[in-house]
Parts: sequence; structure tokens; C-alpha cells
Amino acid sequence: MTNFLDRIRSAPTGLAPLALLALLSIAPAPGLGAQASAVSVTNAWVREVPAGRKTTAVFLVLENSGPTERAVVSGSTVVADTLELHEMKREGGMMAMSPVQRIAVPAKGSVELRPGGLHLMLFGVRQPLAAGDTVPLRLVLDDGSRIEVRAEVRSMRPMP
Amino acid sequence: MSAASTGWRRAARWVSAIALGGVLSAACAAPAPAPGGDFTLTDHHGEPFHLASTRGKVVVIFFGYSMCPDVCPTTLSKLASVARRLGDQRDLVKTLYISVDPERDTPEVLKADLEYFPLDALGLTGTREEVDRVVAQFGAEYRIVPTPESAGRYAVTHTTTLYVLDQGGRVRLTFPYEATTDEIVTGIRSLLGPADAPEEGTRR
Repeated sequence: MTNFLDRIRSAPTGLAPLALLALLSIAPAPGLGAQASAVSVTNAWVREVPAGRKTTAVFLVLENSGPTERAVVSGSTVVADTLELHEMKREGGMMAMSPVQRIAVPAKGSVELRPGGLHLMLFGVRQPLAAGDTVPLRLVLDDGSRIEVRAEVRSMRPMP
Repeated sequence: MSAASTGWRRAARWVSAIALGGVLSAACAAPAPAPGGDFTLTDHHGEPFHLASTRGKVVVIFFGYSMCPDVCPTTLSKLASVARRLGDQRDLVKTLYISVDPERDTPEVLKADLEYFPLDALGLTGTREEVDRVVAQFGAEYRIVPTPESAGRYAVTHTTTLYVLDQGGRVRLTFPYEATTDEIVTGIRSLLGPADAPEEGTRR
């Protein structure tokens, strides 16, 4: 298997810097992705996690100011073992929850993750999360860029 | 891991057997039998629970599972609002949350879930067979869906109906998941009869 780097090395010397530049622009530098992304997040919140509970859901609004459809393909957070993309759906008289591969954000459009629909699931939550806390999340898009999100923990108890 | 996955496979077979049974009985029995009836399960304190022990109270029953991020917290939260709206009459209402995921929803797990909400509720679980019997009694339904790509391993698709039983244990009202707090409060009050207890906000 001749890989890309071999081909760069064997390329005429004048072209090598150009190829390297191309390579660098494909792989986004860490930290730059967030600024480069046309997708932004607003109104991010997490359901409060009482002691003894290990799962919770995150809801937010994704907005895409760019001319191309983008999609969230994965994510992570320090407060839980796993962050997954999920969807609740009505199936006849039943509610079904299933993992999804991606959450598309249309060009010049937005998508809302909300109770009863698309959401992010946190599995293996490591500590109780109390209303008012802030949870840092990182979402990864299909173009490799990342969005750093701070989600507010909200109570599930009815307002007094 | 392999023991767990045989666990859900066995459970999935159980559920499909029950679903098939449901189809067969629906095909030959014309009038649907009145759903409900007494049952015994284990409550979230680990004690046996008999539905008959709630006679004299209006009972709200729903089926769910703790790993579910939406339906169960939303329903419990809504029922806590209902309880607050009922004011002093709240003591005449008992909520029962029956787990359709007894492998994961041990009494301890249900306890953690329920203690969070200001609500007179019991979480109920049991053996798969016990839970399936109650599910069938109420005409509810659920299906275990393997999700090997997820840390959850499997999800439980389930009906989200609320069943409201009168003081004699008969199912009198059902509400869809989308029912509002107002609708549920009105329904429960219709079963409680004329309120001699003051409404919320007055004389407290």
C-alpha cells in the first residue's frame, strides 16, 4: 500500500510543500475547528441527574449558517462514559428510543433537539448533576470540526 | 456480557410469544375483557405490593423503564404537577410506576428515580413473568429492542398510556402521553367526587 505520505515524499520537491499544505487543510487543527464551523449551538440543557441515576438526556438547538448541510456525528463529555445520538419516536401507540448515526443540520437552517424527539444520551453519568450546574460537551461534525458546548442542568421537578 | 445478551434474547422471545398470544386472542375474542384487575409485584422498598391494598384511593398507573430519558421523567414530572394541583386531595391518589425492564430496574434503581419527585408514588418491579402478566392485564404493550451499537445495549419500546383506577380498583380513565396536567387533574377530580377538600391556593 503506497500511502499519501509516500507519494508526497516521491513528488517533485517543488510540489511537496503544496501537498503538505493540502494535507494540513484537510485535517483541522485542534481548537481551530470550533471557530471554522458554520454550525453553532444555543439553548443547551441537561436533565438533572439525582444520585443513583446513571443516564440522562441533553437537548439543544443546532444552527447552520453555512451553505452546506452539516451533521453531528459524535460527541463526548467529561461527566459521562458515553455520549450518543438518539431519537424518541412514536410507533403506533408506543414510544421507541433508538440510536441514530447522525443528526443533520440543513444548510442555512436549524434543528432542535427536544424532549420527545432527537436528543443526546449520556450513559454512565459519573456524578449527580444538580440544577444550575454547567456541563461541558464536545460535538464532532461530519467535516471533522468540533463544537464546544456548555449545557445548563435543569430540574425535572415541577416549579413550586 | 454474553450472559446479559442471552438475557435479553430470552426476554425478547418472551415478549414475541406474548405479542403472538395477543394477536391470536384478539382474533377470536369479540368483546375485549375489561382491562386491569388485581396484581402483586415488588415495590421500590423491596416489599411485596398488592394492588388491592390501594382500595379507597384513585390509582394512576403507567409503564416505563428507568433508562428511558424522556417518557418516564416527563410523566413523573407531570404527575407531580397533578399532585400539587390536587392540593389536599392529593392524599387520595396513589401513583404506580411499573417497570417493563425488571432486569435493570431493581428496587434500588426505582427508588433513586422516584425519590426525586414530590409525589406519592411507588415503583414496581418483579420477575419478567410477573411484569408481563400485569402488562397483559392492562392491555399495555412493550418490546425489547436490541441496540448493540449503544451503551444502553437494548431499549424498551413501550406504551405510554396512563391508566386511572377508581377507588374500587376498576380502570375508569386512560390518558395518552400528550395529555396535559389540566386534563389529568379534571379526570382525577371526576373520580374523587365533589371536593370537600379545598382547592389548591384557597385556605392553606
